[in-house]
Amino acid sequence: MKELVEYLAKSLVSQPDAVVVTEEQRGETRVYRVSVHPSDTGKVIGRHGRIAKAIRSVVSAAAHRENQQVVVDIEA
Amino acid sequence: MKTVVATGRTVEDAVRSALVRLGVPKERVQVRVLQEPVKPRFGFFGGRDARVEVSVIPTVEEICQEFVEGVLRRMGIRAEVHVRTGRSEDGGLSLYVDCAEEDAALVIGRRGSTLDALQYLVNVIANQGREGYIRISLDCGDYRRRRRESLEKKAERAAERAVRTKRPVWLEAMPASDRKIIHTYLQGRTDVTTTSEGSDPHRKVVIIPVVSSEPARSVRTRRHSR
Repeated sequence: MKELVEYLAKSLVSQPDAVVVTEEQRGETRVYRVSVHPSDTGKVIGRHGRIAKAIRSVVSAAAHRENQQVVVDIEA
Repeated sequence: MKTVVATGRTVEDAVRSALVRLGVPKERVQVRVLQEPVKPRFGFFGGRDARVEVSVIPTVEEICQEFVEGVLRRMGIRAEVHVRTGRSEDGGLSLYVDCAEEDAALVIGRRGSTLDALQYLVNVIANQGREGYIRISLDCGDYRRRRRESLEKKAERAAERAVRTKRPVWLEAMPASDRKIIHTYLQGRTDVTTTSEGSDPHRKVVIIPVVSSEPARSVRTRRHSR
């Protein structure tokens, strides 16, 4: 799952090497924190958060298959 | 990205031999000179060949296919992404996800939410650093066609009801692409007009009966395309 989050973020940014994803369990929920190069923030969030929303939607679908609850946090 | 390293007496020679090996025209590659040639002294001493690295620039089709397959693989879904030709009326690219039936439900998601998210992301990626805009549509398990047919049926029923009751009918909130299908479908009818009300994600299509003999009532009949 972490690999999926990383792949999505890296595909969207212009500096993939700066993408860092950390994983943390908070109760029932698994939290993925995505940090990108400051100049790439817009590329993972998008206008009105549309890209972030799409990332969350894809990751949630994958989590659903494994009966997990996930949250994707994008650090700006 | 497919890459080869080739050598030759000159840079041009090296590139030419790389192109033969890759089997693509010059326009589709990116060349990096690793080493300039050095002319031998006295005709044969200490000369060095040119060395070049030649990479095939992926096409937008390849970029999209690789991205979608990459995402699905990491979701634990085995799928192949095919390019459909002659499917798109706007010159865009139409992609189809071919996977097992039980996986298709996951790829599509509730009311197509996962498919729409994937489609949105592939549009962003296809248009990165690109001049002009190319529209990518993504389908799986024939969802788009089935969805269109069910929306058209729904539109038909709602239009009948609007005409029968002489009152506007509000459909449930739906995304812009779905609303467009309804507007387009009902455009052919003269007994109703359509508009949309509210703001996303709660925007709804309203179907308004056209009352021809009676004087116009206070129902607004603005016509929107979306």
